[in-house]
Amino acid sequence: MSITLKIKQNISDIDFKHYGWVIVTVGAIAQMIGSAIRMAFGIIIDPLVEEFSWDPKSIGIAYAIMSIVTAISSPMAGYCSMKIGARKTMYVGLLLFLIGMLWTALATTIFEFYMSYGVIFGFAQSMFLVPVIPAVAIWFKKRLGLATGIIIGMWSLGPAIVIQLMGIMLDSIGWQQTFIISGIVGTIIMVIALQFFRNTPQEMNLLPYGASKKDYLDKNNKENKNKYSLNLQKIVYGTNEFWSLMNVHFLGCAGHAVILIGLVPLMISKGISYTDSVMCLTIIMVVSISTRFATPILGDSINPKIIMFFSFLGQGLFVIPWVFTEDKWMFYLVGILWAIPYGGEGTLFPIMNRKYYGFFPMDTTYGWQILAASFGMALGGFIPGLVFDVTGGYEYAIWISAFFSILGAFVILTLETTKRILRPSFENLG
Amino acid sequence: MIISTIPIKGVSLLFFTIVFSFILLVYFFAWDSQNRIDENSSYKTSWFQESSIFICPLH
Repeated sequence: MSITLKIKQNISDIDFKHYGWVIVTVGAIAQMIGSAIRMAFGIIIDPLVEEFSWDPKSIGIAYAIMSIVTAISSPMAGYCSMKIGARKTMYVGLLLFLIGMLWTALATTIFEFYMSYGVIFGFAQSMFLVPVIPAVAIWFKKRLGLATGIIIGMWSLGPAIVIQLMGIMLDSIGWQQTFIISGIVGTIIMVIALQFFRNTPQEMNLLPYGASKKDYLDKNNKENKNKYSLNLQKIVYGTNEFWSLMNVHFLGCAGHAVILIGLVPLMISKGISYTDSVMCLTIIMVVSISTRFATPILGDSINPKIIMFFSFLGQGLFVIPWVFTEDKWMFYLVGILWAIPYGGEGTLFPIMNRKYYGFFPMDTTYGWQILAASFGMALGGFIPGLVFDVTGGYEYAIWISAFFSILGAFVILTLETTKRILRPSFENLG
Repeated sequence: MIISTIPIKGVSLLFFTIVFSFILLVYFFAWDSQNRIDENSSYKTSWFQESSIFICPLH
């Protein structure tokens, strides 16, 4: 059978009538709104400078506060999701999102801005984003790759759409009205979407996608399951893979954050125009959407460890030509090559968790991984500016990015095989 | 499959990454601070800059 026929057969086998796909849709909307919080920052800097004469560096501190608060609160969001359910946790995130949007619009002092954008949004983002993937994982025993691929794809596509809309609104009605309207509309959309959200298939007397009654119905007792899950979480902490996956997420995010922050300044320092430099970043974003979507599907069906290894290795090796190139088109070409592993690098963590820990709630585990990723992003975002201050160029930053990603690839090699579940205690959930 | 009770390999590798990241930051901060002091002898360093120079053996 040809590959095309296999793919067609594979797609035709998917039961899109299963309620799990509704959960994926709600998750994708949540990702879109949640990730737009972070991306919206870039468009409000200038209006804030104009209106309040705040220094851009002082405004930037709000972004740093938000990143740190999101990082620190992510394990807590995962724990809340496990204890009270993803739906309630996302409602808390939604309430914080609305408060943050309205308060940011009405803020008149820099301290208020730090509180509204930094602290409130920081919590909102973790409460909104962390429970989504683990909740979807509970709904899918099979096809988890496709389900997470759709959601993670929206992570890139969503902000691109939302930011365009917010940019148009900002030009016509001003930044304050834009924040108020976006906050209210976003909240209404999410309240409607969350009406269709259910924490587990059992709440609707359904089986997870791809599960058979035989291996699932005997574990339907909610109280037992919660107790069982919390006890097993301690066993998760005792595995090398828990710590190494956090490490890998940190290294991968530090590696690409250097590029995402430093590529445009690097290109400008080599005499390429601002518009052409931004175009390179846009090309990277567009190309990476395809691998964000495809990598979890591939990883789920082939071998996530191998695909993750090559993604990290590619992310590390393909940045090196940027150190030597001066030509715009070479930057673009390398950008396309780099975007392929970059898009796939961070998308396999839910699949790896599933392979190692079976059909087990991954909320807390995923929360810790998001903590590591957020700190990696913060470190990586910091490096280009620091390196430029001391060397007057960005070449060292590129080498550091390569080192982080290649070290991540090395750590992946130390992981156990994903062909079997890590501990016998997880096997009865598999 | 044999799995250790204490995840030594995973924790050690994570510890190595944290230490390496810390060393990297201290090195560049110290370099930056040293440059500023060299350029202007009356430059007032912050506690953070002083600490980075103190910790870094290369500056």
